[in-house]
Amino acid sequence: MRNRGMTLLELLIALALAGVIFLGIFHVSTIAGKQIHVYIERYNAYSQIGYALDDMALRMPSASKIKTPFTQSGALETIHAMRFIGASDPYHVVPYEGDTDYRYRVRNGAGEDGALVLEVMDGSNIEKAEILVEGKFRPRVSFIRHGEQHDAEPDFMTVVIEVFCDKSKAIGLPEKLVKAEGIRFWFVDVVQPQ
Amino acid sequence: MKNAKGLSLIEILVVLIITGLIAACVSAAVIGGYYMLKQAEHKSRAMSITHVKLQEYLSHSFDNLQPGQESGNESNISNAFVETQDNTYFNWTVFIDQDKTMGANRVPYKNVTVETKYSEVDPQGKAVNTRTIRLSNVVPYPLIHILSRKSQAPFPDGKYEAPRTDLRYYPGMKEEEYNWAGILDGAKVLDFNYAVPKDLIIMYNLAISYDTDHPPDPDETVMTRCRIDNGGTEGIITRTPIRSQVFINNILQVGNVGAGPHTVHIEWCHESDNAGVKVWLRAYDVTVVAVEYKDNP
Repeated sequence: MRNRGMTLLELLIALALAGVIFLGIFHVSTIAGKQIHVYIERYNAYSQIGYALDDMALRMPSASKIKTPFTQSGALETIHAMRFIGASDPYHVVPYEGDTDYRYRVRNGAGEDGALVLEVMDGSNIEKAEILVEGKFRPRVSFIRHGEQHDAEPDFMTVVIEVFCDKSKAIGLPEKLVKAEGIRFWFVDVVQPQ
Repeated sequence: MKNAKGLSLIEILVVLIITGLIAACVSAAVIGGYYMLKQAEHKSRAMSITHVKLQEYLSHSFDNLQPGQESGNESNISNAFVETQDNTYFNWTVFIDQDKTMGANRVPYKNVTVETKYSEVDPQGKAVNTRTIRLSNVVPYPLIHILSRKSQAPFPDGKYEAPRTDLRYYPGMKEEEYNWAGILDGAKVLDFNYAVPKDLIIMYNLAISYDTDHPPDPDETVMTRCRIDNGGTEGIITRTPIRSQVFINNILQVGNVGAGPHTVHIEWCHESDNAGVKVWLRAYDVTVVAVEYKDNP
């Protein structure tokens, strides 16, 4: 009479094959898991950049005074913080009568968290601050004016926000994300000659 | 008796094939998700570039937007875009053309269209699709124009002398009876050329001086008026005593000035019986505010 069951050899082969298959499944699910983490991180980064640019496009055009103006009208100039007087309610603008001192900057001083923030200033004191892009993304903001050799108007500038998604390298995507917005000021020129 | 339990080779091969197919489907989803993410990011990048260029061109004034086209790439926006390129290159083109609205007045406007093109690559790195993002907007003809002219420096005495008459102006007086002349020796003060009919508000200020060796009598006056082209007097005529008021100003409205070129003349005349009294122009400034004429009040 023949015994039911498997021989040792069959068992070993089955175990080896199963191991290979499970390794493959594990590998695929690990990659998928990493991808999902990266996609979520990039989605968060894009959302925050978009939110920051939307906030700037909402507040800055109605500025009644620029406190950190560009000084050169004929050259490429980049600054990394923008301070201006704008309306406290950007949906209710009275021309030329802003009443709130705003500043956009990255908090990259000693002990700071590296976030891109909108600050409401009271002289040199910060009354309140809103985080637009978290410090974990290491944001960088550039306010750029291309100057008259590019036929740029004196009331126009470009804002570029760059962030870093460190996990993206794991799946072969570039870690740096960048987005830009064009801002046209309604009441003032962003260039103020020295 | 043959009663083999267990798996045959064929069964194992079939299991392996099925497992391989399932793994291939999962891998396709994973790899496909990667490329879908890249597609979405490329579209977002193209939209960002297109929007920035559109805002840049919309910031130009109507007259500064010349019909035609201009092209460039991401490096024109910022070097940050160049640093993050991943073998997909974005090129923008701006098209500007001019047109007019329908209706009696045919108001001109300029249409600004920005296109950003980029090529998508398949997993093998071969370019498969050219995608285009297109945004468009208009820059309308300005509703209000403001034009201003003024003398750059005070005129020396004697350069522009007011014509003299010994008559006293009265309403209805014939042109040839009086002695009007332009403040700049007949030359126009300014000209304008708008594409639509306009209502004008004209404001002028004159500073005058006189020969202090032969001063005018206290009751001597200077008359001023404004004319468009060679037409009749627009608005009111001012009468200003010379000795007590050396600054003359006037503001007047002219309605429905037709589209096309026009000139503004400011004219004056010095009423005096004494030929030895001279009145001179020291300085002037004229401002014209032109608002689009509305057909219906």
